Amino acid sequence: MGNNKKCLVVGLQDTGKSSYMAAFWAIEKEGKSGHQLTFDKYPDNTQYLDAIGNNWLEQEPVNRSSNISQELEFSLKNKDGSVIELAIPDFKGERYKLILQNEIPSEIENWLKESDRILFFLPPTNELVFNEEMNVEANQSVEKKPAPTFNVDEIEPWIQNIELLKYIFEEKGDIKIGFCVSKWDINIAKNVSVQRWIEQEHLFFYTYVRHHFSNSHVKFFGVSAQGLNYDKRGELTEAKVSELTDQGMRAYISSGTDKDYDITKPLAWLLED
Amino acid sequence: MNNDDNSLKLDLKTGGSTNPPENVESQQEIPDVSLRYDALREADVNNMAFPSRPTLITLFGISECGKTTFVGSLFAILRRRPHLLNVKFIDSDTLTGFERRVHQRFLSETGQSVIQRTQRKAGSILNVVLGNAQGEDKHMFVLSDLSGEIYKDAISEKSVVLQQTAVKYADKLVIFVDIEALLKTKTYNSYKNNFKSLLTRFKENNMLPDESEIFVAFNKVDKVGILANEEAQNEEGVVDEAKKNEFIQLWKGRKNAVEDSIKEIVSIPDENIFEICSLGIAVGEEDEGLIKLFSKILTKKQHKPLPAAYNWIQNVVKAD
Repeated sequence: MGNNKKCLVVGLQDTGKSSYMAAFWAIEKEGKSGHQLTFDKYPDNTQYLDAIGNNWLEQEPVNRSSNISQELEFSLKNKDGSVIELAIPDFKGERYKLILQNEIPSEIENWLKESDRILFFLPPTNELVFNEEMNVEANQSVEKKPAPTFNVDEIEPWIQNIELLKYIFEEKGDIKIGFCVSKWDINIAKNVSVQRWIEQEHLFFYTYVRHHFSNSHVKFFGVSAQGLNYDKRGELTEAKVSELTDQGMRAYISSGTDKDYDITKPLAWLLED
Repeated sequence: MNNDDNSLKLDLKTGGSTNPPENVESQQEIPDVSLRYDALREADVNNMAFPSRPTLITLFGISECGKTTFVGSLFAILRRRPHLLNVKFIDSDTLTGFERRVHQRFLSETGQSVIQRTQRKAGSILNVVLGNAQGEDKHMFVLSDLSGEIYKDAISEKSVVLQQTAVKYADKLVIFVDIEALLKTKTYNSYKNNFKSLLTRFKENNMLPDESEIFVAFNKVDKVGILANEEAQNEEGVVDEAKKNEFIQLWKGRKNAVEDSIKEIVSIPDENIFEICSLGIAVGEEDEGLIKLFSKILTKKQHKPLPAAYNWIQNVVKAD
């Protein structure tokens, strides 16, 4: 394979895949960040990356409206000076959901066949629990209201994630996977490592991972690509965030309570041989 | 799980059968939406890939007896508090099938009916792979959760009984009794009668398992207290304890009557008879009977000890 690598970015809707790509491009495109990975040269066509990058720079939600598959090719420079040609697509979460409906998109099927590493994005949310588990009467329901007909949206989101992971395991076996829990800014105050949070809040997901993938093939990361929740800014005014963006201190990776502004770390770990 | 064995052609991924229709269930239409990891058809059971023979647990009972709630609660406990059962929940090929039951559970709790036609025709086989508390000694348990409507049909139709191979070959058979139906004067006699007819039909047609561990789950035990209070309350809301006691005695009598009628047909040790509340999964207040029953059914089948004549080790020790 040489230094040509293929990585599939996986995740259901709203798990922050495109936000991560947007921040990655905006921060690393000049190749001067000093981070583990940075761009060696611009890709030939950066229309999509520029559009989502601008969303990120303007502190707006990344607008991922296009249904067109975004298959990107990055020429990345490693800290040791080596250059990696990385092919990495940005498919919409809805495309992944089709897998759970037995309509596997051919582009995902083909990419998965050729990829030997996965960047898997997960939501920062807890699982939905039954009213009875919380001792709540059904008529005081805190659960979401079920639709009369069962469909894929009625499947608990973390079960959807396990199903997606099962599909990957069935196709690829014990492949190298970096799990990125998005919007980690929501969880950072909880004083718990990302791995421990998954184990505590998503025990079945965690057990599934531990019993199907080697320890050395799995790593958990907290990712805050936006660096904040735009709807609950607190002290992080637009001006303050703009300043942090300039200083390279906005988006971060976390193992739990720390902030590491080198957001290339998950991809760098994944690309290690 | 063994995902390398390409000779195993089970279409687990699509939740569809690879075999031609053989019985009523496999002739049934597919559920409203085809989803991955849905419940499987009976015809697919033999194709499940696992190194050792799975344990087949069959849930047996007429509609409304709480089987779906039971399965939903089992799924919830396995996912979030498996330590209560001293196991680790490692895998399942039918996650969507479980979620479909959780959905049905929601609908019935919110008073929305599930279309029975769809229920009858959906796949009934679920599976889980469990390890011990350390995650070792993995074992697959297969659950047969047929629609209660099918058991209802079986009361009066021999042909339906003859199709229920998951009952005949069950390693563990859990017979559900709906306490609510027993407590209501209007439904008690007909329920008891139908229940006995159902078991008799299976027995007469040699469709009850020979070597199975059989359990009886008197479900909705919480209703006893609720209905006793309702029965014993006057208009001011004051509970007449004597009346309440009378109601509880009535319940005990009815329970014994049903128990006796089951024991006339199948042999069941007293320790395999449970009173459960299948909704009882509040954290820290889990229903004791429910958890005990889950634990009992999710252990590998206990093989009967060899007759003394074959127990040569013990005989030799005794002789010495």
